[in-house]
Amino acid sequence: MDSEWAKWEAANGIKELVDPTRDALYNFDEANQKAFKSSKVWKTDPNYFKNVRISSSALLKMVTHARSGGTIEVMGLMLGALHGDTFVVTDAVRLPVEGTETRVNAQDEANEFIVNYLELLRDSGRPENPLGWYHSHPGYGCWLSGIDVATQANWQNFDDPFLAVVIDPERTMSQGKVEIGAFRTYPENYKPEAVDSDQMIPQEKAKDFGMHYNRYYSLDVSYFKSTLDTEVLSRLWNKYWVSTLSQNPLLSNRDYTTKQIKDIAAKITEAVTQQREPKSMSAGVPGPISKDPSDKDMVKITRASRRLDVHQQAGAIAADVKDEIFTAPIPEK
Amino acid sequence: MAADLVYPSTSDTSPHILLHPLALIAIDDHVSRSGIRRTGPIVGALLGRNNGKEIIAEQTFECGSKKLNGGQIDQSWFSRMVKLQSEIHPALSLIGWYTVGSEPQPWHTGIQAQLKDSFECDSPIFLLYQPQVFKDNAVNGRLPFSMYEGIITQTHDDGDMDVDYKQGSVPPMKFRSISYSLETAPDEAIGLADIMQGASTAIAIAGTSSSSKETDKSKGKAKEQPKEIFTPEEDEQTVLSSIKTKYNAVKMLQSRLDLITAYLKAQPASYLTDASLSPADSTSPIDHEVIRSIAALAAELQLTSPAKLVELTKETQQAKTDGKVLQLLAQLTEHASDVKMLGRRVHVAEPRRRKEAAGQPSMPGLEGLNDWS
Repeated sequence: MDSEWAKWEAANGIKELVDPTRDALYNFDEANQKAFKSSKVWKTDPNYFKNVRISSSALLKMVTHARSGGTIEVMGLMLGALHGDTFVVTDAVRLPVEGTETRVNAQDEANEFIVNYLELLRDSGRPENPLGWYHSHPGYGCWLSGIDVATQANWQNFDDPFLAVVIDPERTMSQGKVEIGAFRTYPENYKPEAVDSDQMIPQEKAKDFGMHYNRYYSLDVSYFKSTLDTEVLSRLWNKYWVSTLSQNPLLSNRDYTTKQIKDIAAKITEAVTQQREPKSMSAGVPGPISKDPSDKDMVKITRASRRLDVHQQAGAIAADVKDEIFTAPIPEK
Repeated sequence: MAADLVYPSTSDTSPHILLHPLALIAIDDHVSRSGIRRTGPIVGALLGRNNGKEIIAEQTFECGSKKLNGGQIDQSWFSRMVKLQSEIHPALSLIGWYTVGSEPQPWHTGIQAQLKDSFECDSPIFLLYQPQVFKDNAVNGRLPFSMYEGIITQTHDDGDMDVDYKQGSVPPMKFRSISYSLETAPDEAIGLADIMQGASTAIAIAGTSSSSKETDKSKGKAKEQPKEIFTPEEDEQTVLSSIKTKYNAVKMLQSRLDLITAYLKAQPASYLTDASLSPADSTSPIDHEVIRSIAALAAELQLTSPAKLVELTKETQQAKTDGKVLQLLAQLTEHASDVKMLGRRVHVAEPRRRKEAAGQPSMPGLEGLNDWS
């Protein structure tokens, strides 16, 4: 097989396509991974894992999957390897389950699929381990709900190190940028230091978020691509610049923007009611400036409205550019 | 010999292929992985939809190297995989396969026939990933693959073709090249843009938090420099990156226009080649087709202004005004928050000022501040 492959490799110039250093993450050292897994070094520190690196292929698969679900939550499995404090996600596969936010045992249904799929992969010569699960939060941002926390804690009990990734397809569309978050839960009794999230949580989800936000932490997410991807992407750009000029995000994001405004309005109303309630003023004695809970709410509201504004600005720029180039009257000569 | 495998003419009855970049990137991934791990050969399946006229290739899965024996895919493994894939992609079906090479080879017909005969894939399409394309560094480089369909030739004069195969049952097959274009879903485009702008190379970093710095390195000067001078906030980053994308697109448009202008300028002066022209244009003195296309483009420009200009202007104006209102609201919210904070500060400071004015000692908690000497 080896010599056959060498011949084939040489004939097709495969070697020249990859760079052992620049494409190192595409390698997989099974013994190394096993050794790392049995070393259990991460057990000592609940915050041991800090980074997630996602391959171009895995990212695209997850984003399109999340979007294909529409308003229904979808779920999938990630494969890859561990490099120190970093999860390297090299592939993603869909799971045949939906509605992960409303059902506690959703992932149980997928177990049979996972077992079969991994067996087939291994058989065919792909030794990557399952590394985590991803699911979508259409429209309500990247964080872990109570059910998600339970699911993730369960995974971490059985098959640690395991990672949870959340993608919001609606915000991805409205921002023109993939909205993604990666999380790991803390052990049951661990009390983390103050966590503050700048996530904009819709009113109806706020309670769920507030109850569980200190049960997990988020990891830094970055992407990587192969030498080959770089070549292909530069060729793809030749086709894409047209749609970059022709789109008008102001129009296509109208629904999302309206929803956001409505949500901010609801939050402002709530903040105002809180402000008026006499007990929050503690009988006239002002507390330390930073400790007033309604301040935090105000900061969040401010931030959310600013973010919305920024997206509108970006959209307006796009519309202006389009206008200037295509609609402006052609000067007569 | 391989050239014999390619059927020379194209056909109007051939389907048109729409390829999603996701499939292309997944094949990249497969090739890179096999290249690094030195496992091969590279063969995979294409999943998609076939509506008779067009075949849309959306997803792929890999046929692992261990499941390829003697130029054939392991039958039972493959059917199990196809079944699993149909569970997670209910709308898609097996539409073809891919491998890497420079041109169709005899062993390709084996797999082509296998898909057709054993896996109920009626007219499989064959994507041949051609890395040699990367060697020509053309600006408008074509994508690194060709698409083929398999056709059964009735003539039996090419008996040498399946000499490699013991089974005489493999009918003589040729590959006919078919046209394709890219189809990109909006979410796919966003993912691709993120990868283009933000993805680093796949250098392994022995897990420290230095990886975030590593990420920046590959983003190039444009992203690094402003970081040293000032650190744009996340919000500003959003606007910046959107402007940058627009800038690149406008630059591209400009370069295309320049190319056309340069081409036209070069025309009357000389029928000879011009450095800015691609080799294809320079083969004939006057390429009437190109000239006609340019003329058509110029004529169509008049038509690009929309029919209902008034309505459109009104709508865009409205959208812009909405944006401005939103901006004002955002500022108002921010100010409300500031005012609230100011109110609290006054609330703390005012009694103290009054007490001091009345000659009383200041509040106990603040005493330490006054007699620090």
